[in-house]
Amino acid sequence: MLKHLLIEDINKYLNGQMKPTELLKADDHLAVCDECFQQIADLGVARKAAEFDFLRSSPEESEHLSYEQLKDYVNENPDDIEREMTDVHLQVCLDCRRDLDGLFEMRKLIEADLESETLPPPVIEISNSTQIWNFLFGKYPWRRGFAALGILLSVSLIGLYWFFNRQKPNEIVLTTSPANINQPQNNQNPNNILPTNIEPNNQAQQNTNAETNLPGNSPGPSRTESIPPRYEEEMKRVLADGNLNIPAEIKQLNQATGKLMSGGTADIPFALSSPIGKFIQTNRPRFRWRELSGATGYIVQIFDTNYNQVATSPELSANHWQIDKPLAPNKMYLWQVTAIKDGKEIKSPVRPAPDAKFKVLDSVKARELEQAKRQSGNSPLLLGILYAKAGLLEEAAREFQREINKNPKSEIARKLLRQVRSKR
Amino acid sequence: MITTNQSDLALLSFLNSATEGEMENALEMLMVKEIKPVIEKTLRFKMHVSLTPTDFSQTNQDALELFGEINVLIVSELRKLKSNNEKTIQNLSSYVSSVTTNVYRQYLRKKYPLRRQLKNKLQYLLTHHPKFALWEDKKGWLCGLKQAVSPSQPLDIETVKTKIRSLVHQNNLQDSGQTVELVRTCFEVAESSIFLNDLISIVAAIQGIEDPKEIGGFEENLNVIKSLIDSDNGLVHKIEQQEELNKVWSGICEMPVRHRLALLLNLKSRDGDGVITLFPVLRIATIRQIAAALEFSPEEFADIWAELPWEDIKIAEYMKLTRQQVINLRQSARIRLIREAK
Repeated sequence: MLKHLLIEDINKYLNGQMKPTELLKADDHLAVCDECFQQIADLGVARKAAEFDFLRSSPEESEHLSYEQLKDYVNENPDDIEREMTDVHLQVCLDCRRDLDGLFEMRKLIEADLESETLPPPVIEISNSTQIWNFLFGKYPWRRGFAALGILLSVSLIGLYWFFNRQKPNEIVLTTSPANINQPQNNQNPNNILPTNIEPNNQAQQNTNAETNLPGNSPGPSRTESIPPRYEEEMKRVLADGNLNIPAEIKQLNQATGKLMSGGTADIPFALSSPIGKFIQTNRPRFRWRELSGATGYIVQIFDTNYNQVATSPELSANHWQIDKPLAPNKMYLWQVTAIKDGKEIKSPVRPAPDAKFKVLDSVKARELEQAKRQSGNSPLLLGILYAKAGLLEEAAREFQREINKNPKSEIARKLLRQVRSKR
Repeated sequence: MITTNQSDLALLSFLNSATEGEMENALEMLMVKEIKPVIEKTLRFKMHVSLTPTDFSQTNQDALELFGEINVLIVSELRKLKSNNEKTIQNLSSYVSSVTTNVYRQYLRKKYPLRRQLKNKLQYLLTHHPKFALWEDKKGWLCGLKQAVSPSQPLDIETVKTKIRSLVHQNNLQDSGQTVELVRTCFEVAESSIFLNDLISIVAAIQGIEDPKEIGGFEENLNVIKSLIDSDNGLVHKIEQQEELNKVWSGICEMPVRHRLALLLNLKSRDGDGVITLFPVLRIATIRQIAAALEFSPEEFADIWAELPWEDIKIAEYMKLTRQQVINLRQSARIRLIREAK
């Protein structure tokens, strides 16, 4: 049976004069007894609700995160308290979330830019027409005589070449810049299906460049090189309809990767950097993640899609690790990093965060791509198409960008680059 | 009597004034000698304006209106200060500067949301890309390629725009994914430094970033500022309603425990009275529920109930943090609740 509070009890309760056990009993009673609750209400205490003025904003305090706070968050500099305060604010402030997304996007652009700078520098090309012009009308007039002789010889050679080769099967010829692709000579109207940067073979042959424009250190191809037939079909199709053949699995892989790469939430205490949400060529990837402030060590665990552990690292002091044994090709993997801080283990990511997934490329495709690189190194466009087909979107984007750098008017390269970016 | 330990010396004659007349005179003197010069200086610096009434440029007229609003706001705050001994202003000049900066930022945030975001992004780019630099000289903030940091004359915006025009479409620089390249190209064609504001304008123009004019009306902006900073904005009245109070409690429970501790263990009204009692009294939360929210046992919490509100230094000791961290956490919690309650 309820024992109601006396007025003395209520006064003691309100003035904090009850002993702890009495206080809890009175509190339990007030929570269920409307009569006693009403008695307090009648005392006018409820009017003191106006004293919740701690919720008044002050004109000198900002209601938003400063640039410094946002920047520190993106750079993962803040201490735990700062990070927590930023998280709490971001949960209710769309403006600041947009600002933060903008900075994350900028960080990504800077990283991509710096990565691209590590690629071999693009060869500065002087177009053949410019070279010829300089040669003919440059400093030394005597060159004109040589030039006339050269032109005569060239015409003769081209004539002979055409005569001996006119019965050969049709082939597409790769060139350096722009991606000049020779059309079959019996194609009645090539311009109907090909973009403007694709030129007939006889011009393309003059435009071939040296080997220095290859990606990586692959041995150079000959000055012109035919596309192997298995790539030719894909190349033709993409150039004709402008649509890349990107594996549907990409969508499954890169779900919510931005969240994983941003980190800083309860389920992703520190961001993971790579590999996330993509196909990878190597079967011994290097795992990278953002440092957790104060962490003394890290352990990386790799799982298959049934959450069986397939590999684990030793305790690491750096925020990267290359797996020592090869992963099986054509398989999807998940990975998680455990940071050790103050003797505690902090895992990232944990549910409900999305898994950090990647897939090792099928070994046949990997070999094919290597071959394609060797054989078609002069055509970033072709390589981009093949990379995209294999699901290697970063590599594809890099090649399309190279093509655009070499040939800024290439509409097809821009279109393909946009497609790749939209899937990343 | 308010002593020098509490408030800025400049405020003493105002705070100690005995009659209405004395107070008004003291306030007038304060405004003329101490407050208005700081507001003017801050606005001139921030907005690059003359603040002369005959300058009819839009920015100057906006600045003049902001100037008036800030004056009114500070007078209102000083009147509250006079009637409330709890709050103090230890450095008047710095307080006025903070209020002015804050109001100006709110104005910018509302009037130019996209440009402000772009500015943040470019500031990040210029300070994080190893080849770019951002530096300040007496003319303002300048940027350029790192190797070009020198006192050379910054190139004017129109020249850069003209020089870059032909390269934009050729290299797809209007794509936001090409921002790094666009900035690099700007610096390369300029062959000199550029004012940060000019760079922002160039990038905004090329990428088609334009703040919508229809939501940028000055009156509307001022109203927003007023509602943000006016203590009589109805929020306090609104929370007298039970439903609103329940929302406040839910908001508190959604925050991390450190935020809850910093807020609830020092829950005071502006007069300095502890107001945590209001939660059980208004049936928003029982003492047991508050204890659970703070990760105390009910008995432990009942034991300290009579001591509340704790001073910051005591909370700091309990939480093993610094006093400033506790203050920051509480401010963060308050701002979150204010935003949620609006």
